[in-house]
Amino acid sequence: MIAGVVRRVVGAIAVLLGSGTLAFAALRLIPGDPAATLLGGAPATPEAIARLNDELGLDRPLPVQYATFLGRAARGDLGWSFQYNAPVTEVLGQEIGPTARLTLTACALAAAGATALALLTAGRRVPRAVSGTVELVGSSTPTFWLGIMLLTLAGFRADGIWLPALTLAVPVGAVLAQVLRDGLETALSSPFVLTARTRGVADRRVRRAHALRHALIPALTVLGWTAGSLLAGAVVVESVFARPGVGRVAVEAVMAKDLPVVVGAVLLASVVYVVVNTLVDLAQLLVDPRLREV
Amino acid sequence: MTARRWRPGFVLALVAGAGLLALAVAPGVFAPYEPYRADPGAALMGPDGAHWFGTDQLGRDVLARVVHGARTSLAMGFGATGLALLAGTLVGLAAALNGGIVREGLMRAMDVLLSCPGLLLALVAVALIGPGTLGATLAVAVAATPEYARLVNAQVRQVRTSGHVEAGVALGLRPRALIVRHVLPNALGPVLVLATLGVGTAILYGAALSFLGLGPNPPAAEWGALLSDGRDHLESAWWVAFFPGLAITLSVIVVNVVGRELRGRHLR
Repeated sequence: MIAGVVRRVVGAIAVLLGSGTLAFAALRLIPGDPAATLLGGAPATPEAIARLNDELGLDRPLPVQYATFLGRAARGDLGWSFQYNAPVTEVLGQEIGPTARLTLTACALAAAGATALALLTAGRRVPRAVSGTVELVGSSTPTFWLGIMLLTLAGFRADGIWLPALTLAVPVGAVLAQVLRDGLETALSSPFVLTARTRGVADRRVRRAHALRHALIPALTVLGWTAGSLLAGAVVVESVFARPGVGRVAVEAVMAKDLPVVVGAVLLASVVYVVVNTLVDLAQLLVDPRLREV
Repeated sequence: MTARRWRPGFVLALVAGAGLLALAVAPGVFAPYEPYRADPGAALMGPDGAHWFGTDQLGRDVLARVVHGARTSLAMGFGATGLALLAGTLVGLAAALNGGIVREGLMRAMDVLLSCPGLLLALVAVALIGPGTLGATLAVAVAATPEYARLVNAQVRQVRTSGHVEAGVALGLRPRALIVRHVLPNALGPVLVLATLGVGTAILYGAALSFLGLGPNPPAAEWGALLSDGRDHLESAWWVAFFPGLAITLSVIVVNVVGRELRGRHLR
């Protein structure tokens, strides 16, 4: 058990180290003079270039630069944004709140919708076919289109969080519903459900109290994927609804060639993604003893 | 193999897919008007008999623009998938054939790329490569590559130990002939099937980048860009944004239905 936990945590740290390396590579990959390019549209005054050279240590050997970069990133220092003329951490820090609210609300909506859909349709021929089609359409619809159409239908009153959260929740919920229903159907055909039924437990109770728990295990495995999709979707949804957030800042930074902000935002998303995945792995270790031996 | 069932949904998807490809190949045949010809007198007119999908802010026919958009949008999706497949095959093959430290290095690098949600990876890539049709396509390809590299690596390692490849080794076939003629064809089958599903994601990502203003430059007719155009006129003219989005959704549904059916038939 302890060995399994250690192995997964070490693996996660290795991946994060890799992400940091990649971020460093991305910042160094920019063609041309890094200092001038990094300044983007900002005037390349001697002070600005001097600050940048100091910031990135561009005059020092590459391994030193690399170590400095990783050391600073680990302490939460992601560099300097030229567009905002502020530390990247500060720029992103202000945006984390709105993005967290949006993604968590969407996550709750997706989970609730998917659970209801799966409970109602699992093992029933016609409802299953209908919901299968709904899920196919839901997972194939671009969020930016869905968002725009919902916005139009709602008469452009989108000051609340519900419309953007619903937009973000639809594609994720569609996939979750499929996974949950598959799990429910497997559970419904297993012997323990038959036992429950012979004891006279009502169908609704069999589904909710007995089968659902078993369907949650496969759903848990896609939780990491869910987190990733929500974070990526937030980029688009925040732009559609003109909401503040990490995603919108990242897109604006791409336009403004403010690479430190782009890399910082993506690094932040990667950290969340890796942490969620590792927690899911650890949770499965707790739930399923068979995994502990590997 | 049991008799193949031609499900109505699958047949419908194949027909719709053929239609979309026809639009992409010969848009001029299907488009009722020139996609770039402006007619300020007929700006933002709703769908009617003359303009089935209405007109945009410059009086351009939305149907004509959607039809002409098929080529760029589909080319971005298929092109990015093709490039990703090529790059993924090279990386996966190099990893599987070399083994040891090369494999560990390459595959761990792919794991790191996979630890970043696809669209965000594409966003970083487009920031590095630069926006535009080619830039966005390459960025989507970069985002899709690690998945294929992982699949090819696993497949090649599996096929390599199968009987007929060992027989080829015993017969003294040169390594290159062995890989090209015997290992790759067998390893790539399942990867190609899964790549069909990947095309749907690639179309979505490509359109998303265009929508965000990082794809083809205006006035290019491309679905994501058309949709983004229509955003400014939503209150008076919903159709300018509606129909390009419908086209994206339909294409992705078609690709997903075909991909799922192929997966069901050829993979367990």
